[in-house]
Amino acid sequence: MTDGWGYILTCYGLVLAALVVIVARSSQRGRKLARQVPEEQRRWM
Amino acid sequence: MNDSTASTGTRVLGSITLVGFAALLLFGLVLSPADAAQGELVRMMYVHVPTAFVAFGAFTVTVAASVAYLLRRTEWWDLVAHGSAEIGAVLLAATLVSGMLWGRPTWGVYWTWDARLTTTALLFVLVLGYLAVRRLPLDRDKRAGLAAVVGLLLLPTTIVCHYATTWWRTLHQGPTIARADPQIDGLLLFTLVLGLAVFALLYVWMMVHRFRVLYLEHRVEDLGLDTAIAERRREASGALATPRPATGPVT
Amino acid sequence: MDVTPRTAPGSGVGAPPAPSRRHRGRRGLAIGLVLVAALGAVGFLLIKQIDSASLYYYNADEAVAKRDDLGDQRFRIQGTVVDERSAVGDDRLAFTIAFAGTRVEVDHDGVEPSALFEEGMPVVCEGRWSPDGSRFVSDRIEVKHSSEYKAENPDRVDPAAP
Repeated sequence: MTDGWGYILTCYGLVLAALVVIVARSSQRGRKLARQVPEEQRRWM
Repeated sequence: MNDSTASTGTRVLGSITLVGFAALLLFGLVLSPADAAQGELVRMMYVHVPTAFVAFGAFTVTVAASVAYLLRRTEWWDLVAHGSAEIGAVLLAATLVSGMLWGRPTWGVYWTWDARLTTTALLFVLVLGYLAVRRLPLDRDKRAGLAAVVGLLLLPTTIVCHYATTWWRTLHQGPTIARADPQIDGLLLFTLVLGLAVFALLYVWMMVHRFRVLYLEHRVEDLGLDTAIAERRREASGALATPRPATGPVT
Repeated sequence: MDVTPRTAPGSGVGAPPAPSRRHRGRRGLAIGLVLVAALGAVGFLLIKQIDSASLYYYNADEAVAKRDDLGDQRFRIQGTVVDERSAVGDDRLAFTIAFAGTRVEVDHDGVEPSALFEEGMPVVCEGRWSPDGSRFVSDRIEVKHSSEYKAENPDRVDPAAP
């Protein structure tokens, strides 16, 4: 039986890469917005 | 001074999630054994099943938050519904991709229109539609109300999708662990449960961040609105003030 | 975005008119229509789904019982591979599937099935009955694996070992 590692690594690689990109973009967006808002409206700091 | 959506809590949670993913890669790709029927290909289950499960959970949260929004009309519930649907959409996309890559070498096809795959596609289209509603150029409260109503549609679709393999004949196999007598060996089961835990952690961590980003979007929007109103007032009072320059500085 | 007021409050000149009732009603109607359309589409797809996918495949015994009704219609048949014969030609396979004691001979001419295809595995074949109804002519094979997972037994890797 072919072991199918090509499929396995593509599967893990695609999913993890997509998650990294989305997390990075969201965090970038968060930084950009946080700078525009007065500190008292960022209560989690 | 910290100009981001992070806090001590999210940093701790994010670190645990990162360690979890390292463990999942170790168990999923190295330590867990190959399956008797599928060989190595079973490893794709540790991504496919957890992303699907957590996506279903995310949509359930969106539905609950939509109901709460319709009853209470608070911004908090609106943001929870919105953030959860965003993360659910990402995870469901991962489910579809990992499922297709798992299907090709095991079934022999990337895709087929059986009940499970069709309802999953339907669920994905629906959540994309939901996120499109959230971008409609409407008044914020109206948009939130409309989104909450559309969000309710996620409930029947998620339920039908989840039970599709039980209710109908499908190419897709039936439930693995959501049944009374799971037929899965020790280390394979452990890795699957680890995957569920890690993706659940990822969901919670992303949820906190998305909530804060969406909250900031609203605040920036409000600031823009306040500034615009202030400017227009200044324009207007300026126009009135010009014929009488002696009344002092225009504020 | 239309940000009001453009005139200072209390300046006396025309505060902008509130959106007319008619205008609001039209927008509400549009949103209502979109909602109804969305609900309708989802409902339609769900019902279509229940109709067609509940018959994703016939089991081998049902397909044999319905042979006359099915005629030369295209459908899917499901059964366990009981007798895997060697390939007949380039893209061709001949094998037997069985379900609930009914055996069906399958001639497959198309894409090679996945590596999981072997005796004892349930498969779904897509195609139609041959004109004389003696065999199922398939051009697409899907291997239907179960949701039972067992660690591969290392002893089985080399059955010839002493």
